[in-house]
Amino acid sequence: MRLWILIGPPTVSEDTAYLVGRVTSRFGDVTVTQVSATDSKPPPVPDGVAAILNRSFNGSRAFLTELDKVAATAGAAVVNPGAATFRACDKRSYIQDYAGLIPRTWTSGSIDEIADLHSQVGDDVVLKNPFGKHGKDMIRFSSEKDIEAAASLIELSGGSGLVVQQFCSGFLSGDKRVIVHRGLRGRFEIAAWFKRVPKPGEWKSNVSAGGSVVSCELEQDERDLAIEVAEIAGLDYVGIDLARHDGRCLLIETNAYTGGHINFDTERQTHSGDDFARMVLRIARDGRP
Amino acid sequence: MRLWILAKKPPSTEDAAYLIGRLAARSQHVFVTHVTETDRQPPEPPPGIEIIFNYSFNTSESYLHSLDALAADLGVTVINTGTATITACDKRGYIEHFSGMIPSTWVVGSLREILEVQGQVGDEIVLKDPFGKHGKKIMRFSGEADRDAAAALLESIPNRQLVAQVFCRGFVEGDKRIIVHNDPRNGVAVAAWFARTPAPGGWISNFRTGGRIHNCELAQDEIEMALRVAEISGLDYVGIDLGREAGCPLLIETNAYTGGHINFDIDHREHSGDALAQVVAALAANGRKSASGHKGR
Repeated sequence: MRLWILIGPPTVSEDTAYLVGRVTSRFGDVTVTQVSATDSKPPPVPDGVAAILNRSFNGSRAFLTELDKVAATAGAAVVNPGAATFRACDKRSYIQDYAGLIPRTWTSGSIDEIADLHSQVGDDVVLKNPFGKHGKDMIRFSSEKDIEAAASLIELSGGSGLVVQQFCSGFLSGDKRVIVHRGLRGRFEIAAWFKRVPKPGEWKSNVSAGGSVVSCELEQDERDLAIEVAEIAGLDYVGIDLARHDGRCLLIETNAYTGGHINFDTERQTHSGDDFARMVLRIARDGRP
Repeated sequence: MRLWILAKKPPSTEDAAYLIGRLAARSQHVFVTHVTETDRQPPEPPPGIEIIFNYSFNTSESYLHSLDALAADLGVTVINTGTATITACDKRGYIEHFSGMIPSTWVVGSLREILEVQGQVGDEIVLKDPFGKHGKKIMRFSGEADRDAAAALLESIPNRQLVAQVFCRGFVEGDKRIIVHNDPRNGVAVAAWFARTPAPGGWISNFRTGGRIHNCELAQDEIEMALRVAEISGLDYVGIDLGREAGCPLLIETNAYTGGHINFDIDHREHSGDALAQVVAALAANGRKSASGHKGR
């Protein structure tokens, strides 16, 4: 059975190398094609591919839409499907997809409107580029002193506007990344989780922004929310970031390109990779349930 | 590059998955065939392969010789060659290959010989299965009190031969695993390293026996010995275990099937996987330089 892996640059992170290795170890025949994050269409599908693992880190709508099309023509399942990956990458879509599960959220491309929303919330708001990654292109808007930074962010967003979201008090103590995948019979299962803690004095917990990963317990409401989000997301494998505000657990982000999260300090480190490999194998063999 | 990986059946360790992932990320086409430790012959190769990475953890001479023969028939390079892997796996050969770099060592085949060696040394010795792995089938022998255990160990080895070695008290402090690769363009180079210490009260540093790994510095004499051992071993990618005794490094073991050693606590963790991937790419493109200076393919 042949698997086609679309991969970002060859100097991938340890996490990605680990996931790719787990999957490659389970398949007899794997074709790997390098894709750049800026490619607007996928390369030609190799012959006889049963499944496509999209680890390209490409968030472009054109690339992802085309990927689903070429996969359908080739009769191959895509893990994760392009359409669902795009929705995970575009944070504007969360307002509709996850209504009631996210902090209060709007979209805006105007400084005046952002200032109004800030007053309306009566607390800090977070401004994000809808397609931002790794904790970049995101600021905390607390007062008029942040107007200049907000204006730059609007300009950088290239007309797509910003996501304006209520600041969650829980950001300061860290959020939780919960990795959920399709288990047997298509039911979603929690594969791994950990907490990400920001550097002292910071609020962004992303590892690339200096955050650190620690072991943690997962509360029942966090489990329930992660499964509910995965069911909506339409992804086979998703990293779900959850944070608390006023005691309530809320969705912050879904990640279609989450890693294997091998970390010898984290108790759940071994589970994600091999569960993932078996899921890809099931989808290649039986199709998506 | 069409790479054929002979791999152990999954689930593999994190280290192995990481190494395979690094290789896959740098190849265009990867075939993986699972091999068990008891297979005597390599499996049927997929069509059109250009390079073989032997990561099967199989130490059978029959399997490893057949693998080299198969690769020669196909005109492709094996990483690591079967012949070099046998040299690494059979500790009896260290007496010849790594003379002067290992503690005093003998091959023994009876209790009488064990007692003779111990009497000659006048101190404790270590007895090992020549093909032992993961810190298993290894014991300290102090004399008459250990007769039964030594007899049982001898009995458990198919050809009834053990390696007997002077017990180095310095090794109880721990050892260092140094991962060296042999890049066809630039020669041998250290890719990664870390220290291993035995569990409290223990004397073997292997993970499986409760050993722990941590950061360490490498001394110049350790780097030099690791590079020399790697060159002699003929392996393209090798994990070299060095201990210290009386202020000098000594070789404990060479490992043809070493992992990628991804550990977020270890500073030098990142180098091994990507370095190996680059060696594989270089060997696939240019082959291995033979002793006469000709390309291996």
